[in-house]
Amino acid sequence: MATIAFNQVSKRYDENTTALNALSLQIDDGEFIVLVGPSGCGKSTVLRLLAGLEQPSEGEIAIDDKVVNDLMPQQRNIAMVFQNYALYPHMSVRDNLAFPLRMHHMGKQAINTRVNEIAQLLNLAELLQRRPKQLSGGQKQRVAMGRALVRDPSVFLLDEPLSNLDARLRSQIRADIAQLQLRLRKTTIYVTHDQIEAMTLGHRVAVMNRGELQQIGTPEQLYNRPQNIFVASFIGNPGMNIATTEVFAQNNDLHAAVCGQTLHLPSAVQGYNELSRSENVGYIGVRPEAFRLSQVDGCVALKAYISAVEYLGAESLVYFHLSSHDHAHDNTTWIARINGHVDATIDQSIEIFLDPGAIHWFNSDGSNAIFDTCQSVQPRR
Amino acid sequence: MADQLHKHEHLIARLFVLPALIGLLGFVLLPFALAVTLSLTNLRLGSPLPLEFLGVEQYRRIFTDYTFLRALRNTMLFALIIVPLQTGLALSLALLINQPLRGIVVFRTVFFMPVVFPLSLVSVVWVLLFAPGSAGLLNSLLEIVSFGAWQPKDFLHDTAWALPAITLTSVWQGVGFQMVILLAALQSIPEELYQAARIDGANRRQQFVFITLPQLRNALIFVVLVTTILAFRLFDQVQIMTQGGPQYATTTIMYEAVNAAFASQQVAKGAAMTVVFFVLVLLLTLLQRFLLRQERAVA
Amino acid sequence: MKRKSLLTTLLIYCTLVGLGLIFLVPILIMLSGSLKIDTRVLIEAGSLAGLVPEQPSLENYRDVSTRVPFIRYLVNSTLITSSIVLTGLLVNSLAGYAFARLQWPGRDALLFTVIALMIIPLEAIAVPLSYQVTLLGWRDTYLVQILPFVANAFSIYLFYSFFLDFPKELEEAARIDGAGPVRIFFSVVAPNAKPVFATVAILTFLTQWGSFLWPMMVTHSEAVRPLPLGIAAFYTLPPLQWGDIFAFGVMMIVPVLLLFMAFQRWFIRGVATTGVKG
Repeated sequence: MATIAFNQVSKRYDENTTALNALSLQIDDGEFIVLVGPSGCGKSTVLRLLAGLEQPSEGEIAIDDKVVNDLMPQQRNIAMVFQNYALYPHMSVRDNLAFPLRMHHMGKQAINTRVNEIAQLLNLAELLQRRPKQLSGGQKQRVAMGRALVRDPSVFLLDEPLSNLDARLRSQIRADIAQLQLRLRKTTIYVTHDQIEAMTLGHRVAVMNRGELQQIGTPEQLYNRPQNIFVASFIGNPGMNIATTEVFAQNNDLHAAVCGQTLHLPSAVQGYNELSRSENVGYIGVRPEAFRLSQVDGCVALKAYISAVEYLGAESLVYFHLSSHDHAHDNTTWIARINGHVDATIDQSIEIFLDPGAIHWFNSDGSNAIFDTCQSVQPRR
Repeated sequence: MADQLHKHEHLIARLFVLPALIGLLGFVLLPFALAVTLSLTNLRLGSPLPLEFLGVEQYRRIFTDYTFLRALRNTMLFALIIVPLQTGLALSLALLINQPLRGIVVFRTVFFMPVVFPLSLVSVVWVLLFAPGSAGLLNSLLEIVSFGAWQPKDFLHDTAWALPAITLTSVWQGVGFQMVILLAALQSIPEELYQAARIDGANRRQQFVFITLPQLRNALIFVVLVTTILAFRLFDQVQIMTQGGPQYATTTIMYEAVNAAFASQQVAKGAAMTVVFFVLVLLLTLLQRFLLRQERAVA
Repeated sequence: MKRKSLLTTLLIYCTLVGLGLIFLVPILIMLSGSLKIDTRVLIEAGSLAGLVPEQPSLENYRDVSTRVPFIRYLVNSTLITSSIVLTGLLVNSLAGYAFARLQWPGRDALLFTVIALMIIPLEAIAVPLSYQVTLLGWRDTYLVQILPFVANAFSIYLFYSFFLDFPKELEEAARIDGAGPVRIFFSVVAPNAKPVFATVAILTFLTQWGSFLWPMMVTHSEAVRPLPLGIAAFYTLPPLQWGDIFAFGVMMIVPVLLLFMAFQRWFIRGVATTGVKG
């Protein structure tokens, strides 16, 4: 039904504010793409440009290989769900659903049939006579989805559609959306700042920061092979531990100096060759879940000075430093995610273990030193 | 490319503003320019003299004209009395109304009701209230209150009393307007400010001085400005109640301007008077802007 | 909050009632006077006891219609005021919307002009405007009482500031649903802007219903003159009959009072907005 292409698209509001910088992005028919990033990263701009609510300063946007830069929103056959739903307050749910059809000069009878169909699909039949004011947050959300779907658009845009709901409802509707998309197979672009929504919903996820696309890939690729420090620390909760490091060779072995301690890297470690060849590795990254408290074969040990322990039930978060208070030249706080309860006291120093293969290495410019993931990623079918 | 998309919107926008713009240009801006232009001529309807450019001659004339100077003085005097009186009264009424008492809405309605009365009607009714001798309610009321010491007056034909009588009429009609504005401002003061002040040990009077008044500052400035401008526009009451008399005791700028332009057909003179009127209004507005900006600078 | 003592409450109520009487008595005098025989009005006007008419009759109300064309005045006032209010709502809301929400070259400069025009009151231009309409041959018509007051800078400003705060997503949703600017304004924005329409309608109504100076300057025949001129003329029409005058007054104010009672909340909110925006 619809493929989407952004070709070197930029949006500048004035000379000093670049909302989006040279975005290139191909989206397959029926794909579910999530744009994620901190607020102001340009993700909503992408959506608004595609919807036609704003005009790009440069570049081309194409739907089904047809450049749509000059088309009005209503000519693009897209539909959008807004963050605060944007339901027309003075119309009943039925009229809200009928409005897009009426705007496209559909006959009265056909409108009725179609509205009833959508109401059936989204479980809105009993709410049709109500005004938006009389609906709960979840119901409003469903009406907004219905109004977007009713026209049978070829592209479906969602702008933070769950951010106004409470946590329980959010995970339920999240599942509903995933199911709906699977069923309708519509090309869908979903904007959120919530990485859990991104990871659970997206066939592919595009991480954005400061108007630039950082990485696009499957959730697994983003998690396991982050292209740069930003993606590494943005995906995952808590985010990846990042610290400066210096890799050096000694006795035919590689070592990494981190916060006053030295990690020995056996040659069997993934990426060893790249590491030994590289000259500008500047950062080390470790996911909190890569740490353990007990020795397993092949793991290296570090001395951890515990600063806090948070018990979360199924797991605990251990906050620690790699240098004691006396050596305060490096006060990076590390977080380890440990299963079960951790019996430790503050200021205690313990041994903490780490599989060197789970370490991420980044160049001093922030890019991944081992993987060049950018080009290798293809849309997942 | 985006330009073409916007062309449509530009066109629609222009069509949207067009009727309003034509109206404002034709019936505000043009006559305003005309006022300034005409005031520099000798235009007099039906006059055999040719139209001449006189420069500031009309202004020189009106500023040496006893009647106009009297009108200027009366207008300013009227404003000087009515502004503090009406603002003070409006504030008192607003404070009274802003209390959690049963049936308070009824009183708000009663105080506001005269606002919907046309000034012409109000003026006619008050003529009777000011009637001379014991026939006038005001006279007999004052007689009772003073245990007979009050000498009945013919208010509207007494040079000393005519202007105050018009003032009273105007306050009665208009105070509800200002009251409602101040009431809205009072109700928008966050209750937390008062709670904090009470915790800090402020009594009721201190709360009023240190919280209510400063929070009302902008609304008060606005009310004072509006009341002043309304005062300068004084016309209807004069036309109906006194016709400017007795002996010019109640004549006003607008009354003189209308008289000049119509009774004696001296359009140029009338125009000059309205220009003077506008300059006064403009100065007042600028003063208000200045006061408001000053506060913003402080805040 | 501390509960007020009974004595304070009583005192406040007494003050309120006292003040309330000051506002009510003139209205009541008018009402009772309109029911009295003409000659009794002046005799009894000096005492509050005279507030209750001895033999109430509707005689005066009949007299009004025989002495002056009251119905004519009423029709004129209604026609003129409602024309100004209705066309004014349309014209000024469209302009306010274009200033607040549409993009077009020259917008900001024009907006500044409109805001500047707000400080020119009718009085400042009445004389040249009347000269202008005389030249146009518009004197003594409905048109001359309507047309100059349709476009209003203050109304535009009220609409403008309301639309500035109007939720943008609603318009964007409508655009995506396929509506153009005209449709968006009439189907989405206007139905959700009732408060500002009510405010402008009420403020315009109050000003125009009481309009006196302008019709006095540009009309002279009864056929087009509105109520305020009617009562002023009636009041000077000999013989001076207070009962008739008051009956005229009551009939003149009753429609307004009915409107006021029905939409009181809106009247008060409307007036209060002027302070907030000003």
